[in-house]
Amino acid sequence: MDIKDINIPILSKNIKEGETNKNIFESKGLLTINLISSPGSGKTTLLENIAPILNEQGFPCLVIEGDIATTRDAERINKKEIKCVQINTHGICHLESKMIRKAFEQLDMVNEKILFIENVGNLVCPAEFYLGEHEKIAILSVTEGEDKPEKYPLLFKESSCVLLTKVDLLPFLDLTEDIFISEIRKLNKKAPIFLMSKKDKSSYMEFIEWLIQKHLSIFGGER
Amino acid sequence: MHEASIVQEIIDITTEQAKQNNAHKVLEVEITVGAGAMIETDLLSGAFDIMKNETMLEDATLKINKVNLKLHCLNCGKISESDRMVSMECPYCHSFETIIESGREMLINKIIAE
Repeated sequence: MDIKDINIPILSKNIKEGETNKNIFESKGLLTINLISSPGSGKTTLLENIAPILNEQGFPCLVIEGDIATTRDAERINKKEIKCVQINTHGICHLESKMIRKAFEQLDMVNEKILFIENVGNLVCPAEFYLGEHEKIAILSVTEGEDKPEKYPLLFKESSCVLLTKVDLLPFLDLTEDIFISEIRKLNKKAPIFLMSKKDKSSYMEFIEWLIQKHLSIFGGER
Repeated sequence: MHEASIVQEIIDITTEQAKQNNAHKVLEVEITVGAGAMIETDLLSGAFDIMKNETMLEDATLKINKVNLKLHCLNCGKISESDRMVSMECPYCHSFETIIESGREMLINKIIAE
């Protein structure tokens, strides 16, 4: 027999699971952020630095760490007294919605307002899998080079915000902020681009404000 | 590089559809893969041939229809097509103000079963 014209999206189950995740996150008042970048661009460092500030500002965080192997990232985050659970994908290059739900169930949520999902370091595959997040954020460190957005266009085109990290290293490279910004702007005219460095904690503040405003716009309330 | 995850979904969805139609064996699955779906079709076929074992799809062939990526340029209005993932630059006017019209999709179109 022929079962014709079914035209089922192959990733439809993951999308459906992602929608279930989103409903759970929204019922709990959690703004959910999917962080995507190459390995070593500074995703964990970003979280180590911004989570304590968000906590002080009344927006405590939860973190789901995705890596192929080890619990090193979760250990770093736990040291900052932030609730975190590690997913080890054992070779899989991305996170999927079901993995997120299982991991989320292990988190002892009390009054947290933001859930960060640190995806597996990879600019290709994670962009293809919706996890139930409100915002997909691309991170690019200046040492990776200004050509990366154009080489991996989908992620940069579809992200709602781009973080340019390690900008303190720019003086050691033959590159300027402007080159990175214009390369990102080729693909994405609208997304805010935040420049940051762990050497200057104040460089995180604009991004933190953006997150807080996102939370307030979805869930209401005042600071 | 996530072809195995895609194949698992193909097997799961096809099995479900076949069971709903009271079939016990799948002979062919026909899918569409867009050039912008970030999938290598040779790897997909290779993974399918391994992963189909001990499922209802054991004797099934995977037929892959590739479709081009279509970029619509908002600057010059032209539509360009490519059979592979490209940068978002319009080949006619070199603007990056383009939108992907189609070619990101991955669909199961048809199942032949008995």
